[in-house]
Amino acid sequence: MIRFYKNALFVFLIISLQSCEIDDICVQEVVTPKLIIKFYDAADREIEKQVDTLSVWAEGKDKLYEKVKTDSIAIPLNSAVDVVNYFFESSSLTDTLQIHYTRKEIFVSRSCGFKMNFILGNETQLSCQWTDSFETEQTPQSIENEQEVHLKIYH
Amino acid sequence: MNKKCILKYIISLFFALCANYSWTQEKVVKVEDSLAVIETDTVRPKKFYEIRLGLDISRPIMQLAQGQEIGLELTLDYRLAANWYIASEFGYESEIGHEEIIDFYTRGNYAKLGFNYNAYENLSGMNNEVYIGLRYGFSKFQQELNNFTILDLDDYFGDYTEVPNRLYEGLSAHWAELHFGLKVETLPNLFLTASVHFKKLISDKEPEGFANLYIPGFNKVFLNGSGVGFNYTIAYLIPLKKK
Repeated sequence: MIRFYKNALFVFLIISLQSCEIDDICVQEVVTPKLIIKFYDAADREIEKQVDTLSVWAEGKDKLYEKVKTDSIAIPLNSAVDVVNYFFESSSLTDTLQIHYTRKEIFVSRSCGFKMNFILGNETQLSCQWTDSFETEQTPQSIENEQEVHLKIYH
Repeated sequence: MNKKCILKYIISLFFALCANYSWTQEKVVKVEDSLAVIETDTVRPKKFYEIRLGLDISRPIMQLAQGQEIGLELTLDYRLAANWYIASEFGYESEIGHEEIIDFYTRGNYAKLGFNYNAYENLSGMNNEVYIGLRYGFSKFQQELNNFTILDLDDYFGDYTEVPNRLYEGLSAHWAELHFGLKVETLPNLFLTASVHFKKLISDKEPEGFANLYIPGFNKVFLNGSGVGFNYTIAYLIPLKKK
């Protein structure tokens, strides 16, 4: 009988242990990717060219970049809608980049939930005040990670 | 979540006390019985088919506590040889999954079939078990993805919650289970069982663009398709006479 109770105790111990479940935490670095833009020289289109005093913001939002000197930026797209207007200001000239895209939600895991991937639409347009033109790496350009440049802007 | 934990503890405790009670009782009885029993008693007269029909009682209790439908599980086992039992469980389950960023609803039926091996040597006249068991489990179910939130880590545009209300039907899963359990005969032919199950998913038909986060009979699906479960059953041995 004592052996039976030793065994019984063991089983109850296991049951007690499993009463508190493991919670998995989102550790994978899988997030909704941002749009990566790189600035190139309009005269020599192979050469990266920095922008002086660049300010970037989306319509009705705070500035993401303020008067920075850089050759590349990463800007988030709005997961709730299919189009977003971004303003690029440099030396008191402001250009508007109207970004059109389609959204596709991707399931990641229980703890990370869903993320959004995008495909850039053809309707995307840029007003050319201080910029010259823009170009995508592929057509259609998909936005699935932040390791590659999605959009090139020449100025 | 916490409530669930506490409840499981209370049930565990309840069973521990129950078992304890029956032990004290037996001890008293044994003094007068021991002489008479030795010669005549075998494990149990072999003139009977030993079929036990049981009901999981943790689910109805939790159902009352949580005020939502959880499911029902019946167990059926048959004694094949001295320490070997064919064992099965079947039932239905529904689960509302409130994850932080995903909200879904799963429901369906399941069945498990396998065997138990009793590793405990009873004193004569007793029918307690400490057993180990293996099961093959199968479930057919459906899943509804109610809503999910895509987090905006930079908090620029803000989090976005989509409400697709998508229904995925015709899902299925196969898995294997390892059981550890304890059976105590508290009254003649009436058994209380507590067992814990460790599970491993073999294969499942996943919904497109989503995953099976919960499978009826399997419970929460953790990383690598592993899972845990438990049940507390009250079972009755139906004394069917052999011809």
